[in-house]
Amino acid sequence: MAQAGQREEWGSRIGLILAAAGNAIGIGNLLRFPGQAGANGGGAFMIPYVISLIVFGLPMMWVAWTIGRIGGRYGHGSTPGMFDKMSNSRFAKYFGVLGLALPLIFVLYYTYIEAWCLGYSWFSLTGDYISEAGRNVDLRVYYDEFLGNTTTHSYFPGLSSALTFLLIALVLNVFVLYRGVARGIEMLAKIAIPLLALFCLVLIVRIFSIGDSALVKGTAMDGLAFLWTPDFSTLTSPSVWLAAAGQIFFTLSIGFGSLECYSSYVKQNEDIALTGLTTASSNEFVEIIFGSMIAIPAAALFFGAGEVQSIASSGTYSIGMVTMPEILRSFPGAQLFGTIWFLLLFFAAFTSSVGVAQPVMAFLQDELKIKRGAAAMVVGVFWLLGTIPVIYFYRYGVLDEMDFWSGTIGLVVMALIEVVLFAWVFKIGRSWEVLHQGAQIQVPRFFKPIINYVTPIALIAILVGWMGDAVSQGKLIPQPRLAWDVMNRSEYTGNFIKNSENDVTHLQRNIISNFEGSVSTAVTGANRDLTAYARIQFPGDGTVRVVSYEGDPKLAPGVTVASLQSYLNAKGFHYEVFDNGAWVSEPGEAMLAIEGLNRAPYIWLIRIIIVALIVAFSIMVHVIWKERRLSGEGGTA
Amino acid sequence: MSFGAVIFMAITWFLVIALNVYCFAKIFLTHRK
Repeated sequence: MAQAGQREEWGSRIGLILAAAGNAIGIGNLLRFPGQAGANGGGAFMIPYVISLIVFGLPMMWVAWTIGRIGGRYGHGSTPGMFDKMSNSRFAKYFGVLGLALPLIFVLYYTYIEAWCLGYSWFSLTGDYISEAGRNVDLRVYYDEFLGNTTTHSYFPGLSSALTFLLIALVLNVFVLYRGVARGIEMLAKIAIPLLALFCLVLIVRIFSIGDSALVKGTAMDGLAFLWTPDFSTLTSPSVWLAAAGQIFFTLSIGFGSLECYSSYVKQNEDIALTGLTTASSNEFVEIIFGSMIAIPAAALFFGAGEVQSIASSGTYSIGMVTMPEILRSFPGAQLFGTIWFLLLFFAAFTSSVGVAQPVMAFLQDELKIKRGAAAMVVGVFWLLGTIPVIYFYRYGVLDEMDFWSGTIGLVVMALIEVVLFAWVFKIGRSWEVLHQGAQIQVPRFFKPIINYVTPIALIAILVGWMGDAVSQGKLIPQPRLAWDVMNRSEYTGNFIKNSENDVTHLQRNIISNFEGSVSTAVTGANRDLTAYARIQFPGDGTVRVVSYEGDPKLAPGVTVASLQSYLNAKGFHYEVFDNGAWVSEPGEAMLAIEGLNRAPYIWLIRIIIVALIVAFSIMVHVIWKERRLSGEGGTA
Repeated sequence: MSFGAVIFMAITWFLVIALNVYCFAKIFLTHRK
């Protein structure tokens, strides 16, 4: 128990390593890495990837563990206290506030992703999304409906399922935090990490043992070939280097304040240099070996080598929640292997979220002297309240917005502050000594100039690159989102979208941007959501015909029957009857709903919440340190 | 798989496995100071 004057400690060395590895290993290892590698030069991607690992992956790992040790020496498990001890400046602690606000925002949406995985493991077990005679489940629609990202309700009546699994995930997280570092986080890691490895092995054996079948269009080896065939021409592209650096960043959980927190619970005479290296190497093992042998080989096997590129670039969650269940449900043992896949993702996410939430727990316990049980309750209540907007406003893109600020930009800013503190404020010589206190390895000396100069410059380059991307893509000014759905999905039997957007020509792109542009303009002008409905027919020749259209008058000037028809044609939408041999009937009519969502209020709400959290934590830090100063505590390391 | 793909995969996997073997061997076989 964390009583006043006595902080918690890890139960065992291996427990600490598993917990730290569990913190780093997440959904990104299994889904994001293969997508990034495949899309950015295959084997050649590993060159910038390994360089990024050396230039700032490993250095930041050691920086984080060292900062944590300095904090732990004075009973601080969160970054405000750690930074304060490392600097003479009274402002340093306020920079540390980012190490509380950013992880807190992160866990609010990451628990929701955890809930998806938990929910889907249940749906796999019960066979809910496995198509059968008379019930063909469109997994894209199934996923959107589960998240409330659509106006249709063919599979889920509302958000009650998502909410239920979110509550379960949240209770599990808070329970682990309540149990504490050794009996909660460490115990979870000791169970979850071996299970995670076992699940990976089972799935790899499954995918690579699927032989010839009518369903198979390629081989698993085609997937490995896609991932590893080097394309050296990509090495001259800055975007590939940025992608590699970004992947290293995401995968090692740098900049969250959680590794620092874990390190603060390590005894002062115990090694952290080798522990940090082992954390990174275990994470790389799961990423490079397990990550490259599951999703992409499975996609190559089922869809054929030609489709892998578009699947790899379709996005992390699309591969995990739509493509993988599509593949797994097509082969024998669908329920078992689907359950294993989603439990694997769940455990990967679960061990990360408890780690990221721990700095806030530590802040409440160490700085506000709140007992662990009460701290877990406070975190749990805030967590629940904070996650609700993520669920209800998901379709407005709030999750992506939170991810952009807390899970992307914020991490780089935090890492930059930390490396400057380590190398320039606390001074590299002293930091090096702290890192090597009780160390089982000597970190090679060439890492000193790397940490001093190369890492900060690389971090600034990433920050500039990412912000540049965000500005050029117009991410900073919230754009309306266009969404469309077939309303009466149960009354027709077909696939609606067949062609990939990558295939559209320049002319088609113009039509699409004109149509979408006119809807966006109407939504922006009206400053609210706008909806329209179109009656569409399927003449039987595979085409879609728009026969009537009615909607909000504000949308009408931009959206007409003709423009909608052009848009649908240009997007490559056509009707194709499901080939499941079940209830193929004559193509009929369907109602199409077109929604223009006014995202701006929700995006600004999220930004205000992030700023408010930073301000609130800053005020708390200010008050706590003022009290301490008055009572004569304080000082630097 | 092309020769280049096999080489890249083999080298990367070897490095990752070697690093893990080194770390865990060091942890389990070295006496704490």
